[in-house]
Amino acid sequence: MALLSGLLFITLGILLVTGVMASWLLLLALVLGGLAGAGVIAIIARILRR
Amino acid sequence: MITGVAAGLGRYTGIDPVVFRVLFAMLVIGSGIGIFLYVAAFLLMKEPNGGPGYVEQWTRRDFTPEAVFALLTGVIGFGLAMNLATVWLGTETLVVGTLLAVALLTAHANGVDLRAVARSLPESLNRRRAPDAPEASEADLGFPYGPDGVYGAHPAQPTWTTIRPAQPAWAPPRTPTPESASHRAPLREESAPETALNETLSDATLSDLSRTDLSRTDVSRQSASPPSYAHAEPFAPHGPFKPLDPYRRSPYDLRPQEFEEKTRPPRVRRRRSFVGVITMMLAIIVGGIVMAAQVGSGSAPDTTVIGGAMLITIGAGLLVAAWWGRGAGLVALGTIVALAIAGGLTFHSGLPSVGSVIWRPVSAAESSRLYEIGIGDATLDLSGLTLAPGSTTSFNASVSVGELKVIVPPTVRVEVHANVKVGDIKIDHSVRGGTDMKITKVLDPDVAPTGKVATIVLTVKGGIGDVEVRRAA
Repeated sequence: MALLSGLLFITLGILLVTGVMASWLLLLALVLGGLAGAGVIAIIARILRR
Repeated sequence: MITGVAAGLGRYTGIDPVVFRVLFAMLVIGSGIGIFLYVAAFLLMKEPNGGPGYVEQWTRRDFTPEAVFALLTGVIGFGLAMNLATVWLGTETLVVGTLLAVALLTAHANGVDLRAVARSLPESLNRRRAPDAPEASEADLGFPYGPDGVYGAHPAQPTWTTIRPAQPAWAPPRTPTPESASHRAPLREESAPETALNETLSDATLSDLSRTDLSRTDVSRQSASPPSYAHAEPFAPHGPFKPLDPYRRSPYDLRPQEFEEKTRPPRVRRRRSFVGVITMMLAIIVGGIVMAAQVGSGSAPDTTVIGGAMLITIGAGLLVAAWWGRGAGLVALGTIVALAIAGGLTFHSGLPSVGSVIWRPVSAAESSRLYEIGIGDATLDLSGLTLAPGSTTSFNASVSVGELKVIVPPTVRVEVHANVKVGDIKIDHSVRGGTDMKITKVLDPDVAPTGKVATIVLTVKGGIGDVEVRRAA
């Protein structure tokens, strides 16, 4: 979760600094969707590791 | 049948598991929330052997069945909110809303105090369990009382070996389900000695049946003819009686100290990590440096760039924290920063307008802009528009919540592309209402113009409300 969230934040930060992303709606969707996806993957990985 | 979720729910509630399977199927087909609900139930419910479920293991908590049901209700409620936000009143919304209402009414009809459950939810969710607790034994799960009625006096020999089916004192307090009653009959007829009963029921099977907590059922141990549910049902598996509503507990809260200590073991704290604090300070420093650089270069500070730089720092800190496994705080911090940036971008791009507005374009050059309003009533009056003969001009107008009225000249041909999420579309004299409607219609000129007919391509969009296109008088 931390790894995926870190990658998500770095990607979003780069997009924001370079000015590629200027839509608040897109940013909101990417943050929420990305965190949800990271959470789901983390859960699946946890189950598989058991 | 797959993971034992429906069977576990059925066992706890006394409702046939098929009902839960049908409900899950309806939610999967009617709305995608069924998949999330099943996964949530799988993660929240206890293990088939009575051990903590996945979420309980991760959070080191011990959820009560009421808390699990409340969380599952929350998942359905979230799905309903998502459906309302996306499709508003569609089939999906009706399916989820109806099932949620039926579930709540069923719970209420069965004596569940919904308000008390909601009030006690924070406490139910914060109930901690002992770290590295051994797997629940029969004494913990089935019989806290010994054969002579003393609490905690559990013999070394499994209690179920002393139970005879004819002993009514061990019958469960709950009303038996038809399924359980039907399976109990043959065992009552069987007046075999204890040894025969011992052979019939294995330890594992008994531990599955003797619990009243909300756990999944081990599908690998489900046999074609399940044995009776009447055996070894616990009388008070969670200790002395205590009302669910915390406001009504005071007269009953007379438990012995040892029981209190048994249920609330001290939590072993994890080693403190400084990665989060260091990253937060670094993010503030990086943000300050970027802002100073912008001010130094003579430009106004751009909050988006500053926030982006902080977000990169937090992301890098999370990658470091991933190694030590303490990144939850940084995820929250990064989310807050990202949401703050999104809020800043909202002000940059402009908030949706509110109020009542009338637009009166007079030339084709004014067609390039978007006629848009957030909440309110808008009128796009094209009656004063001057168009070249034979020309084609496009106009775009939209309203999120409210009414949009477009008045077109009588001498032009109009191509209308109307789209409304919820509401009515009225084009000339035809009216259509409903959800997510898309209508394309061509209106020929009412009055023949001098020269070739000009065309207006009109694209109107409405969120919640009515859209009307009519000719000028």
